[in-house]
Amino acid sequence: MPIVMRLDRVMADRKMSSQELADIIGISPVNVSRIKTGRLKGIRFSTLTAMCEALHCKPGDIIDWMSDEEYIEAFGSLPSDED
Amino acid sequence: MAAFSAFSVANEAREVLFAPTPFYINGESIPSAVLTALAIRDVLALALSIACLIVYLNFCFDVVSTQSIFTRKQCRRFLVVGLLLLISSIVSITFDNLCAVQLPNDVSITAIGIFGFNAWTLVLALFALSLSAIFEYGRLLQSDVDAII
Repeated sequence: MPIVMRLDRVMADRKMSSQELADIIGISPVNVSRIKTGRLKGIRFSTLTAMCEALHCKPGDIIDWMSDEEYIEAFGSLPSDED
Repeated sequence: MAAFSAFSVANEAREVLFAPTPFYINGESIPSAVLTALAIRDVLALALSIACLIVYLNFCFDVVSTQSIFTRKQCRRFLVVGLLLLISSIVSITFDNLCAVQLPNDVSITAIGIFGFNAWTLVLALFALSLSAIFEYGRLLQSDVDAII
């Protein structure tokens, strides 16, 4: 039951780059990329709050949940435990 | 630990280079095999002390340069040091018993203490192995924290 990050969609809707978002939130562009690709184990509420304020959205717009079947249909295979 | 390693290196170097060679005890000459064992012991102890000192200095250098102490390399360093010290303790017990048969009958093993089991070596070995386990746990915690943004 993987969690899927939709940050790239929200950023595209707001026409905001990774560098701009990183500067506003106060994290590195590398970490923004990791959030976009879902290569993280967790996200702090402070970071989530800052992202929602910068993108004028709700946490549910950035974080989504998919069943295993839906994830496989969308991405081909389930993510490994290291992701 | 660095001070102890440096002291061990200095002490062993002094014994290897400057200590007088014991040739007689109670009027009996010491067998050459025993003298050889003494020399080997001193050289091995010096090598082990130097190895421990180098490992500890590398540890300090990595901490300063990378700003991170909980790495896989650090864990492996302490594990290697602990194993070396443990093997040294076991070897010292083994050779202590082997060298006993080489001595004249009226010379007790404690008079020479060929290799002489050193409890401190065993304590340091256990300490280094414990540090390795603690640093491994710290590495796991660090990786979890780093993965949370």
